[in-house]
Amino acid sequence: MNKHRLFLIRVSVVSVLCLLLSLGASVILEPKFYNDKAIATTVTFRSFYAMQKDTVDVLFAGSSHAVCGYSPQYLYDHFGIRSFNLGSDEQNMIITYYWLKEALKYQKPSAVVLDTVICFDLDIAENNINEPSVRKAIDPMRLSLNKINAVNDFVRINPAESKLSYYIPALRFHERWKNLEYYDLHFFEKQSYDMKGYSLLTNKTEPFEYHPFTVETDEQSTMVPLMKEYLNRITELCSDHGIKLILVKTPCYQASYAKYNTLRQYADENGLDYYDYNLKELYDLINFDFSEDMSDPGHANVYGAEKLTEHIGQILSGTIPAVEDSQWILSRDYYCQKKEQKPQKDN
Amino acid sequence: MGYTDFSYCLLVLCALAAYYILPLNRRWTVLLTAGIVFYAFNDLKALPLVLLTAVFSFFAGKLLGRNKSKVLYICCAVISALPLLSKVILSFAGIPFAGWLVPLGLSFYSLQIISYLTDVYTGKISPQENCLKYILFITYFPQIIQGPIPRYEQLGHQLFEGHRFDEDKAVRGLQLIIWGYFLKLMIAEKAAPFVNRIFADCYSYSGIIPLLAAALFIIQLYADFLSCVTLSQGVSLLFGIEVADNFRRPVFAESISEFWRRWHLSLSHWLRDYVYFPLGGSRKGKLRKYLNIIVVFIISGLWHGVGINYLIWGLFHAFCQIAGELTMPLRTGLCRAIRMPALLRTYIRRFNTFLLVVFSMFFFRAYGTSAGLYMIRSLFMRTGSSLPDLFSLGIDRYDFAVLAASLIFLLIIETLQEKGISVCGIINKKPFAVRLGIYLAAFLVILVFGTYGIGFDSGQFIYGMF
Repeated sequence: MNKHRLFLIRVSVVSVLCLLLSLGASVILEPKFYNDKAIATTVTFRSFYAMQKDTVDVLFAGSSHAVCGYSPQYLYDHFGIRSFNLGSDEQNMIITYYWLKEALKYQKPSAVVLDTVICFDLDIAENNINEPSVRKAIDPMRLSLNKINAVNDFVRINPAESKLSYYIPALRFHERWKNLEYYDLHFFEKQSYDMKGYSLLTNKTEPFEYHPFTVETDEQSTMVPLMKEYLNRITELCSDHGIKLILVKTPCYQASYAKYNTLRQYADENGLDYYDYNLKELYDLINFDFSEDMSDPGHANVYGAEKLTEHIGQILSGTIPAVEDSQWILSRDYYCQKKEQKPQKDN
Repeated sequence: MGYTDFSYCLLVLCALAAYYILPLNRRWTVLLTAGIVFYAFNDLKALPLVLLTAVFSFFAGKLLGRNKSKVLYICCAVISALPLLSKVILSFAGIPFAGWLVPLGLSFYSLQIISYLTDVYTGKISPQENCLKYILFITYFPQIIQGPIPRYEQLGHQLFEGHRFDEDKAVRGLQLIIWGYFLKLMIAEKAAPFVNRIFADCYSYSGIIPLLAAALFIIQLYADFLSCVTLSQGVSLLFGIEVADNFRRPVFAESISEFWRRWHLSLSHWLRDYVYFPLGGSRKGKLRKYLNIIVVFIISGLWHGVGINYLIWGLFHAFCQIAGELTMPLRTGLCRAIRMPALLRTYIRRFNTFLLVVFSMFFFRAYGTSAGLYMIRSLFMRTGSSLPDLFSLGIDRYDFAVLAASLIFLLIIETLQEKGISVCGIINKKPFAVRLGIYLAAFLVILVFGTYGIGFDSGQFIYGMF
């Protein structure tokens, strides 16, 4: 019996060491979206966990349009409102839903500002669920019930994915040994958390023919059913927690009046605020200039982001009081430095 | 639930826990349950047909135990093999058939049933009296999908008698499981993208590329099949059950006939015992012997797949075996005349055998006879594709390097085994810390350098399709 027990102990030791090796390999092999990337998704979520508890009053969420469109630093500097940008590349509504649930464990926001571009078919992947983008957002999530539920949902939707690989990322990214980058081997180097999820772009878009909506129509677009399902869940989640949910659409080439109509109707039915800055009226109100305020036809640059944030600040300043918080005060210089940097864009 | 899936690991762990908790005389029920669960997860629709066939052959066996009528035996064997025969006939006739008619592992368990019935009929074994135990013999989960084709007298009693936990066997089992994963993920799956690409688009390549694809395919096939059998042996050893070897290092074969004494042994032995010997074997003259060889290889070809190309593949092997035997005196005389060193002769013979096997793969793997013939012709054509494009054909230079290193490692291990040296034995004599280091290194190498995950179907095994 003792011999068998010793064998079991040995097997357990080997198993635990194998697991630790896998997790160690994962640290090196999983892709890292640090501050050297235009959208530093890994840093975004790590820095969110690093925030002091119950200090964030507003959360921005959504795809890269939201990431580049809303500056928490600007919102704090001009309105004293403490916010964090939880957006990520091609963040679909499922990611948003689970990240909001996760965020609510650490923060008690009064408002959530959600970009809606992902509600409609963007031709990026089936149901707008692009596996690499899912991984970017879900991999940095701490092991929790939210992560388990999110993983279960994604694997249910796409059975080709492996649940286990979400917990041991090396199983998914092991092929990356062929093209490891600097930060894969220097993963321990400290990253600045000062941007609070915002991606500051300073370049201006190449000439692009864009016109805000001027011609009214009754046409409607169809939301991707899965995105609508999770938008409903987000609405419910915010309602349950007494959070004001604000739907937005930043200026972009994918917008249309038909999409606006669909979301307008959705917002009205659910008692939500909805601001589509592609509407001429709003576009002019915030003094947006597509050629000056966009980094590319989809993403706002810092000048555009400040205009968009300014508008949201005006809306929220009546309900959310200004608070002094060193987390935003100390990051001011870094933000200004980044803003002064010469335009550069990589991803 | 493939043999490399996490869910399969969970099934094995649960089965192991239950197996060693239950009293010795009940332990076989765990294997039976695991077999049914495993099959249900993989091919639920076909499960009734498998069970029906098993139950029928169980009663057929009991009947044959009492009544040794040849007609009865033939009827029982034919009815038991009806799904397999239907598949062959319907496929040849081009008639589509439902998936449940071709259960997973059909080709393997059909031969298993025929061998059981034949052995009962000839009195070699006594029929099993317990239907559930017989079903366990047919559905034993580590080997039902891809064999090897077990013999009742070799496997049956091992399944039914409960085994006490044996540490030595368990260690050997775990070592075999690691080795199985190495073969599958570092060799078979590594070679697959290149092979698949060239054979799928065979009309676009010529020169050395098709030859390399055929060579890589036989390596892929070997590693894939060997890995499945090794995993089966490894998992079985955890239950204290010994599954017979199915390969004996075919790379060292010096002729086609020796190749078949080293490759897919369970099928070769089955064909020898239930086809070749009953036909008279080599006892009825040379001509009859060669005819018997042809018959055996025709059956082997049809067993592997329905299509003229499989028949040609079988006939090619028969031809090589017969020609090899006929020209043996001439070749031996020639070697003596030019005083060729024995070692050189051995290597030349091995190389020739390898080339012949590679050549036969053009029929075995190609999508039809004309595609196979075209690939052979293309070996002598000069067109656009050439070596510089090699790394853009499904495997990049890094994976080629890993594949090459893995093949060298496999060759070293097989050379040691051929010399009678047990690599597991060497490892087991090392201190625990050294063994631990070896296991962890193997795990890490397979984890990082293996080919698996999204875009790869490493859960499937090639022989599972036959």
